[in-house]
Amino acid sequence: MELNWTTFILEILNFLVLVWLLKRLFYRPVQEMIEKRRKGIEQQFENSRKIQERAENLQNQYEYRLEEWESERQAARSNLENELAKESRRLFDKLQDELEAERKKQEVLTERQVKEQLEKAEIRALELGARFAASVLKELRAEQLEARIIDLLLRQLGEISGEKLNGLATVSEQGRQQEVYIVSAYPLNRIQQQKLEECLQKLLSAPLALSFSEDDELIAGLRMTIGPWVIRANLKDELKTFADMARISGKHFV
Amino acid sequence: MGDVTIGVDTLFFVGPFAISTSLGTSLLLTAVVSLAAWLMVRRMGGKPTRRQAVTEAIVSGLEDAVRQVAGVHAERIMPFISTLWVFLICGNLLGLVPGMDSPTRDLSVTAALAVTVFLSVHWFGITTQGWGNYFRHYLSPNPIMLPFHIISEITRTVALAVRLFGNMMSLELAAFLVLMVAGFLVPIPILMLHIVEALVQAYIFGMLALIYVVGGIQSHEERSNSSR
Repeated sequence: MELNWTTFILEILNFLVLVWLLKRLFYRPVQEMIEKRRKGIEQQFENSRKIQERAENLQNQYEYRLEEWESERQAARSNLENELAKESRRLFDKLQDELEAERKKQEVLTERQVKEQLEKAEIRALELGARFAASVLKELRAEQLEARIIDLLLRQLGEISGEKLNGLATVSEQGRQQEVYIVSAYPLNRIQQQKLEECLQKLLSAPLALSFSEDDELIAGLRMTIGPWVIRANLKDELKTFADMARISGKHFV
Repeated sequence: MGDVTIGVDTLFFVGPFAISTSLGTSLLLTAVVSLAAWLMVRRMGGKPTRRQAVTEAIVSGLEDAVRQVAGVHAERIMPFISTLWVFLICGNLLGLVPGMDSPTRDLSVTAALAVTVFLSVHWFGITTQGWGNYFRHYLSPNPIMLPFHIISEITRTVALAVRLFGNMMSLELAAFLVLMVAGFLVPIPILMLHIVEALVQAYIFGMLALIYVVGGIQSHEERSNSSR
């Protein structure tokens, strides 16, 4: 239990040397390494913080752009809907106009068809009327009517104008015998035949060869054919002429 | 532990100076600890290996323990206190190695360590605040207290030396006596008791040294602050 001064002093030196050695060899390098790693971690943390800030900024920008795009999309959609509505209205109006034009056209066509039908009906009525008149007149056995028609024909031939007379003369200029075909509804008696022959002789101034025949379709009166000239003095031709005139006048009317 | 002896042997003499076994053990301990520290620190890199992680954990633990008491002065005090802990832990546990004795069972070694602590208290106090400011606290609250301050310094240093010496000496003596009486029936509990006692004594010695050093610095700082 005694104190050894040599041990005491050398132990103090030994311990101080150990403190110096450990400080230089152990504590300081390890502390520097820890500090270095701590700074590295702080640097990484700082970098991470910057990256996070940048990411947050990008996210904010992205959200802002997204909102802008949304508003632009809404505006574009609104414009498109307006344009579609305008175009739809324009097409609808155009279709309405076309339908109106078609309707008017159809009305005109219908009106024309109605008029044509009406006209056909009128013509048909005229024809039926003529046919009815013919059948009625045929039933009447109007021999006296025929005699009156012949008398009227003879009187008119006697009163024929110079121009027509020249036309008849032209037919018989060749001086040869002119054939005259006379078709009557009833057989002509001798007196009537002579009157006709005398009248024609007077008009044509040429030898005549008259031939008589009957056709009860004429109803009453006669039809004379002198070369190209045909004189229609009978009820059938008159009624037919009336019907044709009515048809022609109806077409012109339409 | 059968080779345990109560006294301290002398290895050899260098002239009139006797080199004791505890000094030889201390020198060997210094060499081994320095070599181990150098090996542990070697080839450290940014990506820590398991060895580096253990090394950094030891240093960080020691630094945190000192910082909890010393605060802002931890960086200056830490090498001294940490070395004290390392030396005492290793020295106390050396008694478990067959054929070797703990150097701390020698009063000369514990007294040397206690004197080192005594000197370090003044060293850190003076280097922190200067000669005049530091020694002025011995005269506070009045110069009559100077002898009591000096007696306090001496007694606590002696107590520090004797406490460690007495505990380690008594531990080894008790273990020797128990082994003599009980033979080989209780070696394991005695070994466990030795380990716990070695660690506790090292912790107490180092913590007291830390408190003394920090107390010397902070008592002066408090006085400086109050004078402002």
